[in-house]
Amino acid sequence: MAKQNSSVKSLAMPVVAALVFAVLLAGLNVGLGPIIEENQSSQAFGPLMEVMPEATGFELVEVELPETVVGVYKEVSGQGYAVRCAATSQYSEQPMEMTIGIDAEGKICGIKLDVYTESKDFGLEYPQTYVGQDSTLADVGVVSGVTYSSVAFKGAVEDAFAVLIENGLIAEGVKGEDQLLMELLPQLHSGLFLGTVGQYEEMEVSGSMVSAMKAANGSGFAYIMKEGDGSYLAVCNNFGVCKIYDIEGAEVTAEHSALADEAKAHAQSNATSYFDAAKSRFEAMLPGISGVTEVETVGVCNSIVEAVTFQYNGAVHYGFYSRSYGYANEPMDIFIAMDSNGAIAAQTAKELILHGEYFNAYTLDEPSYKAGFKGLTAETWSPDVAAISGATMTSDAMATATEDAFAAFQSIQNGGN
Amino acid sequence: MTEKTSILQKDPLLLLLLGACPALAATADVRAALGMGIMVLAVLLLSGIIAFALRGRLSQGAGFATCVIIVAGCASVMQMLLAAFLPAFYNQLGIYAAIVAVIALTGRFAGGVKEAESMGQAVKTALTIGLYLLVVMVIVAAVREVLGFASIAGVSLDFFESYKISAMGKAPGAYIALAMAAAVVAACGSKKEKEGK
Amino acid sequence: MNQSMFLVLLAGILADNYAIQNFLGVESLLGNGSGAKKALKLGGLTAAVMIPSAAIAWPLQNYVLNNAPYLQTLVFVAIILLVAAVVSKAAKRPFDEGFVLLTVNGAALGLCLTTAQMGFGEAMMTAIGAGVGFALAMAVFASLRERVEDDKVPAAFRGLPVSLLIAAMMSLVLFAF
Repeated sequence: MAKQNSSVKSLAMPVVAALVFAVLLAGLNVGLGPIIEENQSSQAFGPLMEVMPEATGFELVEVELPETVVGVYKEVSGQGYAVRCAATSQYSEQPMEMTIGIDAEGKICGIKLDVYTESKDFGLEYPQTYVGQDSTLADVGVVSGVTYSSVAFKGAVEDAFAVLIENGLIAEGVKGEDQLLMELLPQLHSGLFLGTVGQYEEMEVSGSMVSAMKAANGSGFAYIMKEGDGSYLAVCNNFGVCKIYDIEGAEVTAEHSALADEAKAHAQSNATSYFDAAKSRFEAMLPGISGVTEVETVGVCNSIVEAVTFQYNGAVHYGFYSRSYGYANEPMDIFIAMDSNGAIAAQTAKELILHGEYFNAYTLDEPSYKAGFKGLTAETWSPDVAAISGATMTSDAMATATEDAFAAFQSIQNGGN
Repeated sequence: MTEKTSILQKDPLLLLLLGACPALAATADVRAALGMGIMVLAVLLLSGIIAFALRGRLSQGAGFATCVIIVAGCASVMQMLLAAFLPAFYNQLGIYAAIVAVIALTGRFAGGVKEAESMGQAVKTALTIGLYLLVVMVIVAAVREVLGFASIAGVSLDFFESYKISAMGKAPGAYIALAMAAAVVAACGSKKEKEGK
Repeated sequence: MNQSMFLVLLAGILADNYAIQNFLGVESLLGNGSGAKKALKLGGLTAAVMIPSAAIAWPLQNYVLNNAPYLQTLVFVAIILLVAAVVSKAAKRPFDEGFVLLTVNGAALGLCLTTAQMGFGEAMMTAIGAGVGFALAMAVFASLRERVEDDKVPAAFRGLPVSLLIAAMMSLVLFAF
């Protein structure tokens, strides 16, 4: 009994101490609780306040989030939303983190790059070009030199808008016709793009042209043109073929022949001829060829800048000159010769690895690489043939050139369509 | 002076051992070291005063358990005060702000202080131990932050950018830096002993 | 046990080891002067306190303490003390200062604090991993420490400094995980 009593007594001491402190802490909480809560919310909401300085407070919105969106916060007085995103660009393992403030009308009111581990200048200027944009992001471009980062950044902003629109929190911005037409362009003329990033220069225009773009690799032109109330996209290759498309992406060349003629005229007067370069290269590649002439019935709009036909070993052959984009976004000069069945007879490039002296991470045995293409047709070839270990951009350029050459060959067989 | 608390004052290496958790965890950044040092000092003071005041009751049965509760209570109070008035330091500490409640240093001190001769002596010992640990932590933190992150108290030092040793900012660096500090303390201590002799 | 739970368990033992990588309970590790076998026993006792404490702390945090976060540290320490008292009785050891300093340490409190924010399954896996990891760390550290003959160590590095350097090497190894 005595032992039990002393155990109970000894247990009492710590229990009493705990209770006393519990009461003390509860009392302290009355006074300090609000201060602590304010400190915690300003720490959590600090980045959010920076993009929406007039905000009175934020609350977390529970919605399903895509990969790039970390959190969606609603501003409590109805001023809009703040979205925190994290995006990884192709070259960096560390994600870049940003905070975007979108007002109640669906326009960006503030944007800040919080974490970015690459070039320092990117974070100060580029994000500010987004302020005032709505979900169409019509006037936003990408920055050369940090292309992959700006593409990733733009993607994250698009995802932020998508989350808000899908959950009915803001209204979707309406895209202008010009923007819709530009979005069609990568599919319609791949020669003007590397992936989704444009590789063209803008030209001065007049007449019914709103804008004109000249491909950096000489593979053709694209124009945004106006006729009546409508806007149209004209794409021209280097063979004098021009096609007109409306904002739905339907081909309407026949109905707008005047536009097609105007575009054709501009393209032809500004085009570069690659015939001489192609001729001398094919003559060097395949000794003994004769009768090199230009093929004009090529209806594809891709990286092919010149197509020729010639006699080789007593048979008709075709030669395609592609200027697809390689390392450092520079056009490569790739030459592919095919027989009349569309099987590759020979393939070469003026300089297989651009700026090879600057990096040596690739392994390449040139003769056997080139020989690997021989005899392949559109059905039997695969992009693995073009792969060069350690030189992804070159491999992609070679694969693109080969596929474009097959497409050009097919177009010739179809009479220029 | 009590045997237990005088040991802490006379054997600085023992002090570093008992305070190893905060000395390792909160020394990646000078601000964290300052915050943690202030926490530990305040908890030592508060719990020392309370434990000394209750010394009569703490000799029985679950006396040490009561000391631990007292330390935990004081640590909770300090957490609230830090969170309210020094939030920048508090945020640097993370869960380690709460861990002060159970580090060996505060427990040992609270358990031993009841044998001090007077409240004044208890306070003096708490201050000595707390300040000593604070100084060591700040020095270790400065070395770790400069070598590990090329910054000091969050201000970046461009000169050290190319000499960064990332391990210094992580666990191995913490052990190594504290080991060096402890070796210096030991060397100074033995030098004093030799001079004394 | 599915793969992600197994990884949580493994992380608690290795890559995220509480004593070595997170410095929680590191005083118990560094201050232990006994051999590997005894260290394993002591580590086991600590694990025996850590795991039930986490199991009790979890529902308390999620159903009660969410309304009074300022009581978290105090309540958790009280729970750990209670569990330590029970374990000391079960292990037939006196519930004295030494036992309390050994078992009521940063590892136990740190575990309760971190697992309180997780789902219950993940919390229990983390607790088991952390407990096992702590015991193993104590045993390995003691074994390594035994091998260092203090006479061969420079005077300034004897004792705590060389113990810290051993812990540094253990930490480097665990980084590989």
